[in-house]
Amino acid sequence: MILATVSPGGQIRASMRPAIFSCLTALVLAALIAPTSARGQGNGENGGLVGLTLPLGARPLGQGRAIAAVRGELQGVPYNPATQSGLERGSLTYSRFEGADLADLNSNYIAGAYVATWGTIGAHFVYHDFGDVPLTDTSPTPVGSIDLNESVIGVTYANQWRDELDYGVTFKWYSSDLGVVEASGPAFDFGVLYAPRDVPVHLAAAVRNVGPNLDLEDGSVAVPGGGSSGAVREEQLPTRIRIGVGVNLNDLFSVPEGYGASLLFDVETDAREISTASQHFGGAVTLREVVTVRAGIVSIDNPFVDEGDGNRQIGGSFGIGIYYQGFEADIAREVSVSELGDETHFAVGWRF
Amino acid sequence: MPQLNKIAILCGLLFALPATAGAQKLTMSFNSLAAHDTNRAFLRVSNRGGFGLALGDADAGNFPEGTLNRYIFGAGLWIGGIGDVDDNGQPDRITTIGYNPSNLSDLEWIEGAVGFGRNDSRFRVLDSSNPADQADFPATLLVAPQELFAVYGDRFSTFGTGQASVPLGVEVRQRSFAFTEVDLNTAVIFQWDFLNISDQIRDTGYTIEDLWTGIVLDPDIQVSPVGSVLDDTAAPLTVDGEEVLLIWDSDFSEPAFEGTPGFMAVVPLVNPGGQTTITQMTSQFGADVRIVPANDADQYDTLAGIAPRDPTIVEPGFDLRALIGWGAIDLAPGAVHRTAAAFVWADAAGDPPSFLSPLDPALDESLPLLTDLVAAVRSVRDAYDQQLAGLPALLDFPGDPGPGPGPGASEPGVVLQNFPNPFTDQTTIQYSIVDAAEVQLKVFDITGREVTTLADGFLEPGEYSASWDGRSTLGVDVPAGVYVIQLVTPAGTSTVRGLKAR
Repeated sequence: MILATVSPGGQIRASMRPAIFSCLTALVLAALIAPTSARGQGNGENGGLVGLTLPLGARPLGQGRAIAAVRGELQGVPYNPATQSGLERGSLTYSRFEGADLADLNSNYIAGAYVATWGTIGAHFVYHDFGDVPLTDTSPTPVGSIDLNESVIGVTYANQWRDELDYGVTFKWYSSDLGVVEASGPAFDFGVLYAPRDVPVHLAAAVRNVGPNLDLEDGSVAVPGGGSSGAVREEQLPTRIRIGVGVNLNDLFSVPEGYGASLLFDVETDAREISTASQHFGGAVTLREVVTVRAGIVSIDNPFVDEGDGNRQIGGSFGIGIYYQGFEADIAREVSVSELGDETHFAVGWRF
Repeated sequence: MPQLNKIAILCGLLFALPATAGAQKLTMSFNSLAAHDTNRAFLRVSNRGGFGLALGDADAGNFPEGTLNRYIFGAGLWIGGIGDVDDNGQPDRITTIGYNPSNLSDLEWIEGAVGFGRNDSRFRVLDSSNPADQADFPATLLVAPQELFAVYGDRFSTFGTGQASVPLGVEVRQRSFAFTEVDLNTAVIFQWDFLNISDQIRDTGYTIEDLWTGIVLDPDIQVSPVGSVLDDTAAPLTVDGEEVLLIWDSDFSEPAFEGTPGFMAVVPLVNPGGQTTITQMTSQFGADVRIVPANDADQYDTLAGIAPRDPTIVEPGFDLRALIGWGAIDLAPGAVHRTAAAFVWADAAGDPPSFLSPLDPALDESLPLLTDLVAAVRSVRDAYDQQLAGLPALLDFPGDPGPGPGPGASEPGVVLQNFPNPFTDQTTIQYSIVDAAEVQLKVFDITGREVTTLADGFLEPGEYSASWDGRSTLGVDVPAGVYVIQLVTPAGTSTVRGLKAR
């Protein structure tokens, strides 16, 4: 099947664009909807190596974690490296995630990107701190404690092909120290973002955490009563597939200068268990190019319980951001997504 | 915050030194045994009667702080008395133990208080160096920049114990001090006020007769990396007419002996009953000294020095448990009984012999080897008499929350730290319900997704236990990682975090 014909100048023939886009949109929407109706039994395996899957970025979180189809968004890189493409200026951002109080978890994400003629190159560092966990032996009395953490360092390259297709790739190195288990290894993220100029809908797809199995080794903390075999074990990376759609409402309605609005819809699923999908719906309204208000709805799959047995956690999010003379600040809060409590995210950044 | 706390304490030390100048300056050493880590969930000292028990930190149990090896593996209070606790007209010999050197799970204070942290209302600890607690410490009553107060009791003593036991009915107000003076820089003083709360845990109270209190400790004096804890031994030592418990590693001839050999002493400071007992025990079956007793009556007999008992002093060759007790007094309901003691360490004065037996006839206060130790004992006695003996009872302390169950007792339920932790195949979760309620005990992953439900239903007040095999509701072995164990009642939640190993 011929999906497109390319003119000698490299541009997709204009007459073919609506048909191509309609087909792609239909495919994406089908993919977005299908997982919700065919969930199988979770295997529980996709709950591991959480450091590679924890949500990051106050702006994504404020809009229901729907971010894959947003161009030029540095905080979108952990979800889709192609979002780094489209940055007009070099950028720095730092975002902190405060987990629910009961979880005693916080995550820090710092990223930077430089825009060159040959593409946009970026780097990021993620540090998840799981706090102190008491150690016990034969009674509830702690005999010590251990601080647990995971980190990811990554380099991202993104660029645009033929003015319509953004693509990006991230190479990252993951390190986990859970006391009893230590692991480190490489992983790749790949993403594309199709954003034709004359169409208000953007489509995106990304595959994250692709790479060889991680070797798990015994950590510095022994398990009371044994359990540390000393043998090297392997664990598959939590490979995720994310598909997103973004609609720029400015192109559909008459919007005053300086104002903007968009709607976004992402679906993310475990690559090895397609049926365990999470849906993310969000929107953002920008006022006078200074203030952006965001809101979203999140529906997350729980692989630990069976379908119909509370296997979905549905919550909301909201956030607000300010951009002024290159400096930006955002705050977001997720409500009822985690059963352990609400979560807060904030971020600061600089576009230079 | 940890750094800020230390800076604050350091500043306090600097300002306090001139104010306490004198023959016996009293300044607190925040990094001594008497310090506790306010930023962790456990205390290094004064937690429910146990001190020095912090195995996760290689230096935490050392006494003095900064030494290379553990000198006190663990220590804690024993309290024994006679009372008709079951109201059958017959007196019972009941012992409440804050530290059992044979079975660490066999403790009778509020189990898990350490895991709940210093701010748990069922187990109150105040630290004068902590800004949050300073309102409770009038400066006029403080004698040091840092003082620690702990309140604990045995009203829930059946919880988590490995034996059938009932509460004796004692609540303890503990105040601890440490010194940094030249003569006292290796001393830690504890002062305890014991309150008879039998009238609070049953319809009518009773007088606790022949009340004995004491310290049991597991010293591991490993001056050498290759040293053996089996060489620890103990003996009574009379200093100026009063007995102290002397502990040392008898085998000074060990190869690669490093550091400075020395002696530890537990020094009674306040003992209204006038009697002292010193007993050697071990956890090793087959030894020729008594095994740490496992039931209330035997524990009381050991603490009180009542027959049958084995010889108290024997040659070393076992892992020592030493017990020093003080008694006996009668304590009426609501009455308060104070005792105090100090831990002292002193280096040996001169070169020790290759072996020093507890039966050595030369082992008395005139032995040149003990010159520094005897001086330290005298110094700590003088310091207490001159500056601490007149301190008000903790019951009168303005910041003291007063006797009684405290606000935490009205909490509907509390879950204790799972054990073992980390775990692979199974871990145990103990929890208590104070008020009858619908209760759920659930496990969540770190992102707040429910993993499994361990208990779900209406529970009467009491103590309960559940186990988790590390599997989800679907029966699948969950990945390694941090999991939140949450007890949910209509009035609130209580959580701990467990670590699952693959």
